[in-house]
Amino acid sequence: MVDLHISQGLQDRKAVVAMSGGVDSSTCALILRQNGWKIVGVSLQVWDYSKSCKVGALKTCCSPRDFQDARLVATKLGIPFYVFDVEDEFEARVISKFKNYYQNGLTPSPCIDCNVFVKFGELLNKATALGYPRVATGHYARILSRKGDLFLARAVDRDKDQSYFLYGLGRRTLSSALFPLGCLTKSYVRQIAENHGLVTAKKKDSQDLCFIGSSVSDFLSSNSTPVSGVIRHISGRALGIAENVFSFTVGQRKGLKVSWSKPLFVLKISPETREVIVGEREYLKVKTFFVTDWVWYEDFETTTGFIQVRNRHSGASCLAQKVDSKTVRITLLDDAIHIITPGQAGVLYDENDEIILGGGEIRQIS
Amino acid sequence: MRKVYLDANSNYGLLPSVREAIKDCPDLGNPNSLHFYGQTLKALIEETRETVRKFFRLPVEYNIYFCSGATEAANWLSYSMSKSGKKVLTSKVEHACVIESLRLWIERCNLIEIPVNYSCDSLFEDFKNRLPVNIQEFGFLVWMHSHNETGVIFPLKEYTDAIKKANPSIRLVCDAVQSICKVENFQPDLFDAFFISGHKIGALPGVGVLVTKPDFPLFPMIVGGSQEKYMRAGTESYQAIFSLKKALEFWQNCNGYEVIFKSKKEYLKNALINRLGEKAIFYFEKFSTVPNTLHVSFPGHKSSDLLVALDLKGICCSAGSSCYSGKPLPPSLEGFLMPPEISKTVLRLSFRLDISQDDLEYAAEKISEVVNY
Repeated sequence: MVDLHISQGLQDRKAVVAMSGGVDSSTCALILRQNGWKIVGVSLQVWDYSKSCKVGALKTCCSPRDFQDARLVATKLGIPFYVFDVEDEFEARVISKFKNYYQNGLTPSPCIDCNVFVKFGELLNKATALGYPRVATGHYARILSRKGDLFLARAVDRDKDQSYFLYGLGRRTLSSALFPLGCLTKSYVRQIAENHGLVTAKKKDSQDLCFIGSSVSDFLSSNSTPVSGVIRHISGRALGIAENVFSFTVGQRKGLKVSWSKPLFVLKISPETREVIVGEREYLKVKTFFVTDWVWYEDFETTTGFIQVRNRHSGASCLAQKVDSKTVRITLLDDAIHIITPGQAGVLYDENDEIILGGGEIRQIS
Repeated sequence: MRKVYLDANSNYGLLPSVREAIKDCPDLGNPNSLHFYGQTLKALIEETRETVRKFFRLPVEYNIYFCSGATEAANWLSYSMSKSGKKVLTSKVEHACVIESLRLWIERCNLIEIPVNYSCDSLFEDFKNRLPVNIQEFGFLVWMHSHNETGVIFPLKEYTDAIKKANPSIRLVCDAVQSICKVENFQPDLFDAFFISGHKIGALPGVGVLVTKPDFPLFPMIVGGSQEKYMRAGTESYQAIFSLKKALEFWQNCNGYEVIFKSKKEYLKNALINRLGEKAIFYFEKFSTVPNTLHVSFPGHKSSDLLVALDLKGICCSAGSSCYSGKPLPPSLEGFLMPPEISKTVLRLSFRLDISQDDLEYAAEKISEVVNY
């Protein structure tokens, strides 16, 4: 395996850098600039923030304040900088799916959709049309090459690894992607930014979804019609009222507002019966589940590896079996309880828990 | 990289003579101070006022007020008109500083906005057909002299004659920003009030002029000082005012600028047609248009994408008013009843008097490269 880092496409060193106004994308631009790349900085206007945020209360990335910071960094680096309005694409490919999934009892991964359809979809298309064949981002992930095939791997800084959010790119798009921070630690990235006087050097990391003002629940209430229902224990007993059935997530513990002798977790959401089924922790125990819309990096019939089922999940040892070209059956090999949430991504890493073999969306759980 | 500036309608940029002159502008004192320095600045402001009067050939009784720019002048007028309680008729294609200040100050029931049909054969007939039946109840007609994005010059003499027949007492208010120093036959006596902006004609930004007839009901909106005869408080931006004087003097002495602008526009238009044929459509050139402004649509190409691609090739232009920074497209083309599939494909190419033929040729070449990519 060869770590491509920023050496990919040495002959044609032109890239658009997606600049969110944070320290990572700022440093990404800096590194490329220092290594002789011809770059253009772009911030993406994905959402009309007046819909979900009060002015001055923004704590996400990609807000107007962040655009100012991105522009300052671009000016310092001496690169052109633009704001691209991609609200329509974001609404069509990310927001509508986000709402639709919750209404069907699923928990979406909007950051993954944004990476696939917006950053490495719409933005890459625009960049290519401008004569810039690559998009670089400040994601912590690595692109590796093995016998000419590209693979996506975890970042050197495991605490910051974001490869999980990028699995959907697929091999073909990887050839147009650059992740210059994949071999660096976060603290070193901040150090670089500080040494070069970037205004974003000490900026806090954004944690929330960029289009969510306060909470997912509030967002869904104000952007779709809430549907009230019943919170029911798995034994059949009704425990309380759910103000909006569609704002719950499988595995959720906090915010249930019901009284029970033991901690309860959401086990299932049934849109048809308007019920949120809850139960004790042991009911979350899952042995087998299916992952659909599989993006293949390496073909297999059966393989072992590690499956990551959400952000900050450390990965579970598993057996993966190909069901068909779009579906993989995952059987967990340990006895630990893992919260498996339908709609979230299941990403399969190799036996060293380093290289992505494929991934998709979690569906049927048994 | 070679740059060609085709965004003179957003900011003309300092005229060389202005740039040179402002180096000598006094910078001590306050125009309202009694002492020598104050008197020097006060004199400079009054000299500029007289330059404005001379430039527009205004009768001595007309009021000339300095303010921060067209946006302030528009807000000031809207505020003053609101005091009268009378109805206001305006177009849906006004610049945002006009339409939004009217919407802010004038009661909703007293404000009527009428569109302009971009596909009409006669702007005057279109205007006449849209006039409200109760036109005699209106106190003000607010209409721009020329449109900031498309360059369309409205036949305001015909409008005025027609409307005065039905309502002799109606007052006419005009945004003259994009016509001044481009169109030579501007007739100030048509209007009860009009305003211009310094940075659109080669002066510094931060100065505008509001001209009113003596009986125009103007009320102070910014108070707290005796400046401008208590009508507009705040220390005058005397350097910007001085730059305005010098810019007006330049244009006053510049013979035949409209003809020069026209020939350059014709050159650019032909250069685009020669390269792009029917891929470049000039929807507004069937009307009379400002001679430094070429509005062109490139079907199938989003304006926002074209702007970036052109900027990367050194061609600096815009898709419309630069006063809309959040969204790439301003809304006023909707006021022309232009469908979005067209209005999202337009560029506004506006140039300075001193642009070279070589630059126009180069710009046309780069535009065709991007459109044909």
